[in-house]
Amino acid sequence: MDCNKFDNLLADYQDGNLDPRQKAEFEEHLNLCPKCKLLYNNYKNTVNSLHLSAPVLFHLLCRQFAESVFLTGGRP
Amino acid sequence: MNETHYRKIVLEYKNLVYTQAYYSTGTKEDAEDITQEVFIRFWNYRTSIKRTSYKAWILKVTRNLCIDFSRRKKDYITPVSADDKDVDIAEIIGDNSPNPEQTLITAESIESIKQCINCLPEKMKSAVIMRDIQDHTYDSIAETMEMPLHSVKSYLHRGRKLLIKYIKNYSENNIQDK
Repeated sequence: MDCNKFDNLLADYQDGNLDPRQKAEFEEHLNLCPKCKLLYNNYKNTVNSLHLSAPVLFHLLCRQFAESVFLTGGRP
Repeated sequence: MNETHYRKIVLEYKNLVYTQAYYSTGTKEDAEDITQEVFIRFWNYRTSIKRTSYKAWILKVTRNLCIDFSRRKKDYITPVSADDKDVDIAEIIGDNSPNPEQTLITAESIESIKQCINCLPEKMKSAVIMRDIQDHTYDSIAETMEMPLHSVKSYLHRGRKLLIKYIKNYSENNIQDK
């Protein structure tokens, strides 16, 4: 596997969509190529941060919004 | 559709719409305006929308209004030029733990992520918000964005990679400002 193919498969690997053979090839390259390893770690950490921050933001924003508009009699 | 049913639909989807609008516009006031506009339109078009398509219709109108908003707004934050210099994003967003569940997400990192999402090109932003923030399926995103599945995956992947660069640049700018 080269770096371009690694990049093309990164999203599917992150989402668990690779078949066993592709996954093994992906992980082999991951362990051999420092540049792709850094890309993978950054990618994984960014996606994890989005997932982890989403509920916090969602909760804060929605509570504010519920109090301000539709639960106080807003209607078309 | 009677008023009771309409209110039920509003209650069911308003948080979803508001969150997407907030991420697109970056402000509470604009997100509220867009959210209200979405549900006003929903009321006005209620007779022509299939009952099974309410969610897809609402998400599509939300996205279109957010795009219109971005086009109108001239003073949104533009990211500095993103270079390809290697950087460890964990140092910026605070993910240094081996277990992602133990990651500490600070208010500052949430703010930086929000700002950087706002700087993404529109289609990448929509894909990232719907997949990584709102946890939609790829099929649902493809339907809402009216594009094939492979295009959704491409926009999502490119959006995530661009986000890495923007977060790095945002962090560097903030350090310089302090």
